[in-house]
Amino acid sequence: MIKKKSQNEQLTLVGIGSSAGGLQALTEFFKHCAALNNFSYVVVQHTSPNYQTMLPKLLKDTTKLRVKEAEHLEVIEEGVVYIAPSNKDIMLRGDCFELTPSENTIGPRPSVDGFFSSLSKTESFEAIGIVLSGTGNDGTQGLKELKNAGFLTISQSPDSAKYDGMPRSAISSGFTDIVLSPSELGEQLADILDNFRGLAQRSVSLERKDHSYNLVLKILKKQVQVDFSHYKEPTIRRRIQRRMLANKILTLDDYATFLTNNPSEVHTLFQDVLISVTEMFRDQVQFEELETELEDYLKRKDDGDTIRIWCAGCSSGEEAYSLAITVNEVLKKQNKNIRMTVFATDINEATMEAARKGVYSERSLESVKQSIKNEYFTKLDGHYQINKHIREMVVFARHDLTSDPPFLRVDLISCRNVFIYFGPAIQERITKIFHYSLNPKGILFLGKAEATSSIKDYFQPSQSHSRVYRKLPKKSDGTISFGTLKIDHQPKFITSKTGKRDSLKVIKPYIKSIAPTSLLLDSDFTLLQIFGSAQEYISLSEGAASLKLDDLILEPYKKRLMPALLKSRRLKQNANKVCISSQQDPKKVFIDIFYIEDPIEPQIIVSFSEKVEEVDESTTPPDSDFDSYSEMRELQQELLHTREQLNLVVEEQETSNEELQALNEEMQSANEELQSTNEELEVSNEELQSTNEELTTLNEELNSKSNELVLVNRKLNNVIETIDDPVIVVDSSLRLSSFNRSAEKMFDLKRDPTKNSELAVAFLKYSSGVNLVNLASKCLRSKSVETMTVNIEQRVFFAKAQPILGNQNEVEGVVFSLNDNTDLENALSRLQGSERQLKEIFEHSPASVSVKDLTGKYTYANSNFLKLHGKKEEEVIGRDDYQLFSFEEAARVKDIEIEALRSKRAMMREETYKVGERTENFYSYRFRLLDKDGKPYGLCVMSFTVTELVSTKHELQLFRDIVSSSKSCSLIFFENAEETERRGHPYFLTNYVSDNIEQMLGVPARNFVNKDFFNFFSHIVGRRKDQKILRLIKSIKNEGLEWVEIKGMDGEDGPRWYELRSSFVPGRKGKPDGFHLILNDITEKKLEERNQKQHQAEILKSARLASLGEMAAGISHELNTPLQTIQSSAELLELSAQAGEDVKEQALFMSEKIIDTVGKISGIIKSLRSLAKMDETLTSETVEVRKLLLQVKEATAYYFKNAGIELRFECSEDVSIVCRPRQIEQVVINLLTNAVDAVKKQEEKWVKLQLLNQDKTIKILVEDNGPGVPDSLKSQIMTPFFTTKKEGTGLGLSLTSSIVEEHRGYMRIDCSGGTTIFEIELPKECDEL
Amino acid sequence: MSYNELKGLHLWIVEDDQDLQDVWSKAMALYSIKCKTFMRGEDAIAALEVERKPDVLMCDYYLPGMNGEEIIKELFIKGGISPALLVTGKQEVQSTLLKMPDKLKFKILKKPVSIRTLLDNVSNLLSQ
Repeated sequence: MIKKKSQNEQLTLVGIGSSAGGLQALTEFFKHCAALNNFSYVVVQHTSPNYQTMLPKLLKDTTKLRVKEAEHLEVIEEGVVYIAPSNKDIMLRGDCFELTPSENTIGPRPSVDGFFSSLSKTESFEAIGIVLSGTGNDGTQGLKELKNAGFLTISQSPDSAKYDGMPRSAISSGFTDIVLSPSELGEQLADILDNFRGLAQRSVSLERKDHSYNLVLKILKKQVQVDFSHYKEPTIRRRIQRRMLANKILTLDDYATFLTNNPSEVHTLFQDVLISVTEMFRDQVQFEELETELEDYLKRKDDGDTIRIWCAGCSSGEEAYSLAITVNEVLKKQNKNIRMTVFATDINEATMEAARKGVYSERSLESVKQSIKNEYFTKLDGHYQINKHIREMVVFARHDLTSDPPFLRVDLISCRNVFIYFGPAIQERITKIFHYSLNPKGILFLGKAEATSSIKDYFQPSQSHSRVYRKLPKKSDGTISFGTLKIDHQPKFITSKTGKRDSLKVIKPYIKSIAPTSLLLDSDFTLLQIFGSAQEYISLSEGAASLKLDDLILEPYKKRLMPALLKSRRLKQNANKVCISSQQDPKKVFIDIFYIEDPIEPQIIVSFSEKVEEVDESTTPPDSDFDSYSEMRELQQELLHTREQLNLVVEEQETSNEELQALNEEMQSANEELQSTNEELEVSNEELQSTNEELTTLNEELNSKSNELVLVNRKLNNVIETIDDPVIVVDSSLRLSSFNRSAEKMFDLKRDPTKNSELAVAFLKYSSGVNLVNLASKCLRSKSVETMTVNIEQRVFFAKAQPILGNQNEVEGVVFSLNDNTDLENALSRLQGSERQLKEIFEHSPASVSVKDLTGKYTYANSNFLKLHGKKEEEVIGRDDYQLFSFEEAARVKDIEIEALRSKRAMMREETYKVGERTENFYSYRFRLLDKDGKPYGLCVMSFTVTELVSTKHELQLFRDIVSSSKSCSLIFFENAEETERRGHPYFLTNYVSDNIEQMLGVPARNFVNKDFFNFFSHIVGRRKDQKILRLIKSIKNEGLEWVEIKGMDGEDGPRWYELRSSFVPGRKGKPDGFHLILNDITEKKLEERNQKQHQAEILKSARLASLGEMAAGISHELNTPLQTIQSSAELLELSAQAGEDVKEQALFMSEKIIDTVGKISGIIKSLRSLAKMDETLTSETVEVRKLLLQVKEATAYYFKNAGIELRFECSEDVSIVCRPRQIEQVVINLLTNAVDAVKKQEEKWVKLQLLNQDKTIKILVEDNGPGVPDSLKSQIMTPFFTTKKEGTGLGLSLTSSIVEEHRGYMRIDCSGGTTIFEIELPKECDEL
Repeated sequence: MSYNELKGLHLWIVEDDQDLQDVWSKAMALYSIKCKTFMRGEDAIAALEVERKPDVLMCDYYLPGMNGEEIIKELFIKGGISPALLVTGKQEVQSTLLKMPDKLKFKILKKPVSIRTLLDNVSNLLSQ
């Protein structure tokens, strides 16, 4: 508790809890408060949650200390009065405040208990808890925790408090150390604390060497048999300090001495010590032992049994509830339905009030398992409350163990830490009482303090050293009583004494010998045996039979005998002889009383003897004196006797009183239960009362209902009467019960009910009666409305039988109504006829027909509709489009239909819908259906599928568009067979002409339709050209002409040209022949073609000229060499002549050379001429190809020679072709020169010229072993001016190919064989040239 | 003109025209120029191995096999034959178009050319 900080530094935090009247007490306190240094105060005053506390302002003037409202997480400083803010719970956390929104919405706020509880856990401060004026009990629990933690707890004295609820609760709980008025408290607080601290200081300083501490423990152990040496020492020390403080003793030594001298203080101390350990499930181990024992014990109990538990000394109830929970747990484990009652008793009624609430602090629940906590406790406002079902089991009652009678037949008694209050004698007595109270084998649960030696006599511990005991099967001690009087509990059974009779046989003769008439009595004066004839002395009197001597003995003897007997029994000695003489009878009877001593059963013998004369002087008093003397003696004796009897009665009554008291106590506790039951009953009663009221109201309502019913019934009768149609009501056995006038007339019924008892009879007058009877029986069976049509006297009636159903759904009768239906029936059949007709029409209509009502639900759909949508009739009828089709479709249709409903006319639309996967086109007609008032009641939709029609239309349109957008015009003609026959030549009529004919011929297409063939062609070739047109049509029809170019009429730039493509379609299956014409205006193309030809020719010409130039260059070079020879020869002659040599021989030689050379030159010129010829007019002639090629070879020989290339000439075929020879020569020359150029760079150079003769063509092949033509160039080499050579015009190959094409030949290049072959194929005959 | 400085000169002629060969051989003999004729350049190149190297070379352009330009280059490179005359009837052949080694003394003459012009040029080339 005391921290390392020195005493002076330790800040004391004083928690002050107050409520109503708190302000006065606080003002008083602070006004007198002298504790300023090292003190801080926390005032927790209950305030309204919605009200900002004024307390800081109010207190400011009363104290020198700083007053402020506490703030969240504010560090506590010295010398400050903190006021808890309203509507927040204030807690202490370390050295700060923690303010939390109040959890508790019901109880007072801020909670004093809550703050004290947090204060009790502080390690930073010395703490003091003060409870001031206020109602309720807030703060009590908090003080308890503070005290348990070893802090000082103080309450305002109740008489000084304006409202004493809180202080009183705190004081009565026993958790208050000091009680003072606020002003005293203010003055003395510092001193009290100093004192408190001083004690602590010293006790700490002494520590373990403290013999006094051990002495105190020893005293405790000796007195209360509890060894606290193993208890927590600081706790015990704090308790001792507290007691020292209370007794104003300063040293422990003094206290030890004090203890020795004041044994009561020992108990007070002990009690104080024990308070700290008051908690739920105190001593867990013991509870476990108890649980084991209970498990065993409860096995014997069955469902429906009761377990009674007595918790003696329950204090604030923890023990009682712990027991209840423990037992409940065991019962749960054993799954038994056993009712449990716990009698929790204590002598202190004040603590019991709190116990009944069953609210405990968190601290007292420390040793409670979490599972138990969850199940049996409800957390409220930082505390735990025992759940109601356990609280209800526990009955709290005030009970003094020392004096009050015990609870009986209990199964478990718990008495823990109670014996400490009692001396050993009482302890033993209580032990006996427990033994008496418990059921056989019942359990006694004791605490550490209950260690009297006597226990072992009556109980057996479940285990050695266990505090759980079993009742020993020992006879209860009869001597215990619940009052001051001892009651003899020895059994008084007669039978128990029969065994003793044998002994009587011994004394019998003896008795007889002394006094023949004797009575043997037991100590209660019950007659056991009669010896001799006793009828003179005893007789059986009227009333209940009794063997009591008191009742048997005759009156004259009674008076004297009974006191003597009593005396004898009391003194345990034989009585004097008593002489009794009756006045009527002079004889004297002597009675001897013998007291037979027996430790178990003392017996008494009464002997009667009659002595007539024998008078003993000594014992016989004088008569006169005798009477008065004996009278007096008798009276005296009687008085004595009466007194004794009185005593006896008083004592017995006292005992009864005590027993009654015990019963009363039980009643009292039972009363509590009854009271709660009563409350429940009261509630039930109230409920019943209200139910009763409701019933009364209901009854009134029923009455008025009943009146209404009478009225309605009357109305109903009148209604039935006024109905023109016959109405008949029969009962379940078809007996007539009522009918209306119309029925009366029709069926000849009598108003007299007796005459109409049989409905059948009444109806059988008519042939249809049988039917009606059948209808009635059918209705009785089916319990539903049955109808039929009956004919009565040529009129058709619609008969309806309606069952009258009772409450149990049984038929109580049948109502017949007969409607004259004749007109309706006729109309209906007509209607049905027309309806059938209409339906037939609809069903066979090719359209899909449906009718919808105004809500869009189908009311009719014909078979086509169903087929189209693939639905069954029942799927369609009654549903709308949203249910049948997709949302989009339905929504679209809806708008259209609304429009149609508004429209007076049928609405026709072309529509496209998705039907399943397909998209279908429809022509839909929608028209509204009107009722007789002209209001629309429905909509009929008729749809025709036109999908194919539409698609055909679309295709046709597409075709037209394509045709129109193309430049070609399309025409279709069909033959008119009759006209062909008649005219003797094919006669065709135009069937179709594409629109774009207008662009071509300037005449609209419609002008041609259904006109004859001539009409159309006259627009092309001109009028009066019928013969030409006829030729054309004949060649189309008969020869299948497919393509022709026609020269048309002259246009602006000369004649128009047309291309005509035709496809003839012979008529099949009776259809006429027809043909399709495609007409193209090709004038432009023709013009362009002509231009192109001219251009090409020009190019060719220039190309030829260019190649001529090349050729000329070669030739000039070739000429130079022979010229050189000639020149050199001539010069040589000249030089020789100049040199003076003989030139004759020289001249001969030279001239020969010159002549040769000239010959050579003329050869060259000749070949030059042949080249020149190429430019001659191009005329076709038949040419021998070999010859032509030979000429070429010769013309190019020099070329090959110069290039050092071998020309392989392989032309052996003799074949002639028609061609332009100059052009062909040029082609071959071109190819050869190309080949020469190609091979020039090769190591081995050759070019091959080859001629091949074929069927209709010849082939000229020019092959070389050059590198070939790369693929990338193949397509380009034919174009003019394309060349790979440095020199040259690039015209060669294009020229060549154009020439070949002109000859209708082909030219190919083949590089596949490692060589390059240019192949020219030419037809042998060529017309086109 | 006596062309004495040319006497005893060794001359190779590469010319495929037999007649011209004959005429030129006679003309050269007139001036005591020792003349050896070849029909093809290849023959002349082959002769390098066995024959005395000429002082001057005369060569036609268009020849079967190698042309004149190639022959002149080859003979200069292999046999150091220089100067050389290229005598050709092809008008287009010009010295600027041919790429001859710098040290080679070279001249192009166009046919027909007089024997005197020929000899003048040989003489000029030799005296350079």
